[in-house]
Amino acid sequence: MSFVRFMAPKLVGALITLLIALSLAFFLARTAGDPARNILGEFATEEQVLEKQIELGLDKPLPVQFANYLGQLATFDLGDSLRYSRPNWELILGRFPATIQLTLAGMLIATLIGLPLGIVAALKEGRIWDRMSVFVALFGQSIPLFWLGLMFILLFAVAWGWLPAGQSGTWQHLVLPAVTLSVLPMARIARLTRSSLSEVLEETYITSARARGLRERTVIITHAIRNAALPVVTIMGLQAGALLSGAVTVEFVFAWPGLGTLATQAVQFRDFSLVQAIVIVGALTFVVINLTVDLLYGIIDPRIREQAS
Amino acid sequence: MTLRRMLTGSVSADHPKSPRRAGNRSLWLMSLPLLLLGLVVLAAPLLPLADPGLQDLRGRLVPPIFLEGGTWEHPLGTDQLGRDILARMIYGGRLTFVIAVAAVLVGSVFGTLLGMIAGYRRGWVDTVIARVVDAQLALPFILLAIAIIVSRGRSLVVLVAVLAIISWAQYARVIRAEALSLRERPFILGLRAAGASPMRIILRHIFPNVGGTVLVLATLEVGTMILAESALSFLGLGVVSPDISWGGMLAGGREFIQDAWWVVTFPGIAITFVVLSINLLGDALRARYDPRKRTYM
Repeated sequence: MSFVRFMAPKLVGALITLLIALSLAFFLARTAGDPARNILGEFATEEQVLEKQIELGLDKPLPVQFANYLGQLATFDLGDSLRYSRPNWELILGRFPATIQLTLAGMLIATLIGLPLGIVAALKEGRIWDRMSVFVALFGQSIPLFWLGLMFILLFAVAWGWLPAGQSGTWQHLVLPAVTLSVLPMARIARLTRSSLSEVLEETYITSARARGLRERTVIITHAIRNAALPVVTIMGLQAGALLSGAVTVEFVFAWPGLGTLATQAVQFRDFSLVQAIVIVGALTFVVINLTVDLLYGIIDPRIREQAS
Repeated sequence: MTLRRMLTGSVSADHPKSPRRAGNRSLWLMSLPLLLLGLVVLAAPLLPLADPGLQDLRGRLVPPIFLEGGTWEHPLGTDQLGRDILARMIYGGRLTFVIAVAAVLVGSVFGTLLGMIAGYRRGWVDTVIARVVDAQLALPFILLAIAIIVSRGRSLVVLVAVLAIISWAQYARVIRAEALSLRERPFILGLRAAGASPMRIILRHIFPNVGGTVLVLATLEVGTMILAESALSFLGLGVVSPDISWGGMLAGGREFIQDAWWVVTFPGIAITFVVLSINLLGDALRARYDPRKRTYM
C-alpha cells in the first residue's frame, strides 16, 4: 500500500513532465519558422509552399495543429517520414536497438571506471590520487566527445589498425564508440561519488563504527559506500539525456546505425516529420528512465518510502 | 523528479576553507590562459596571419611545421582547401567566443529571472516554472536543437537562440533553490512587512544575493555552450562556411582524417583547452563565492 502511495505521484509527475516536454518540442519547432518553406528551399513558389503546407497540415491554425499532434500521440501514431514514406515508428524501432546497445555499453564502462575513481578520490582526499582523479573527471567534462571519437579513430584505426573505424556488427565495432560515449557520464559519476562519499565519511555513524573497532574495510564498504550510493544512482539516471545527446554525435562519427545517425540523416533531407518523432521518442525514453530510477530509489532506501506515506 | 531537485539543490556540509587572498591569486592564475587567448583572438587582424578564407588548391593539406614538408608560411599546416589552419583557428575563436557568450547572456538573464520569480513567489507560478524546467531538462538537447534548426533554417541568430533555450533551465533550477531559502531570511521578511513590492525585492535584494551563484554558473556555462556549439557545427547545423568556428573546422576535416590528421586535431585541442580552463576557473570561482560548495551537475 505504501508503495502504491509512493509511486502514484511520481507517475503523475512523470506524465506531466512528458506532456510539457512534448508541447515544448511542438511549439519551439512550429512557431520558430515555417517548415514547409524550409523543406522546399528558398526558390519554391508560393503555390508550392501552400501545397506543402496543406500536405503537412500546416495551413490550419496552431491550436488545431497542436490538437492533431496530441491526438496522434495518444494513439501512438508518430506520423510518416517525408523522405522514406514509411511510418516513423517503424524507422525508429529499426534503429533503436543499436542505440540502446551503444548507450548501455557506454554506461557500463562509465560506471566501472567512474565509481572506483570517485571512491579512491574520496578516501585519499587532498592527496595526489584525489587531485589526479579530479583532474581526469574535469577533463572528461571539457572534451568534445565527437572529437575524442575522431582522435580514437586516428590512433586505434588509422595509425595502429587495432579496431575498426566505423559501422557495426562485431564487438570490436562497439569498443571505440562505447568508450567515447562513456567519458562524460564517467566524469560526472566520479565527481559525484567523490563528493557524496567524502560527505558520508564525515558522518557520526562512521566515527561510531570505527570506535566500535570495526575493520576499516568493513566501515568503508558496508557503512560508507552503501550510504553514498543513493545520489550516485540518481545521477546515473540523469545521464540518460546526456547519453542520448552524446550518442547523436558519436554515432555520426562512427557511422553507428542508431537513432543519432537516423536523426542526422533526417536533417540532411529536411525530414521534419521524422526529426519530430525522434525528439518525442528521446523525451519519452528519458522520462521512463528517470521514473525507473525514482522507483528504484524507493526500493533501495526505505526512508524515502516512509516519507511519502 | 522532486527527489532530483532535492539532491541537486542540496547544500553539502563541506568544510568552508579557501581564505580569500589565496583564492584571489589562484583565480588570477586560472584566468590568465583565457585572458591571453582572448587577447590573441581580439588582436587577430593586427597579427601577421594569412587570410583565413584564402583558398590555395595547389597547397592543400600541407602538414604543420614540425613534420616533413611543413613550412613557416603555414605553421599548423593547411586544410582540405589549402586554407591556413592557424589563421582559421584564431579567427574561428572569435565567433566561437561571441556565440557562447551571447548564448550565456540570453540564457542567464531569462533563467535567473524565472528562477528568482519561482522561488520568491512560490505557489502556482513556482509549480508551473518548476515543471517547465523539468520538462526542458528532459529533452535531449541535440535532438531539440535539430528540431528547431530543421524547421527554422540555419543562422547565427537561430544558433544563439537554440543555445540559450538549452541553457536557461539550468539557471532557473539552481537560482530557484537559492531564492527559496532567501525568502525566509529576516531581511527579506522585513522588507515584505515594510510593504516593498515583489519586483523590487526580487531585483534589488534577491538578485544581489544570488549574483555570485549566477556568475559561477555562467562561467561554467560558457564552456558548455562552446561544446554544444561545436557539436552542432560539427553536424552541419551551426556555423557554416564562410563563417569559421572550431566545430565547423572539425566538420570539414573529418573526411580527410586518413591523410591529414592535423586538420581535425588542432581545433579539437583548442576547444578542449579553452573549456578545461573555463571549468577550472568556474570551480575556483565556486570555492570563492560559494563556500558551501553546492553541487551543480
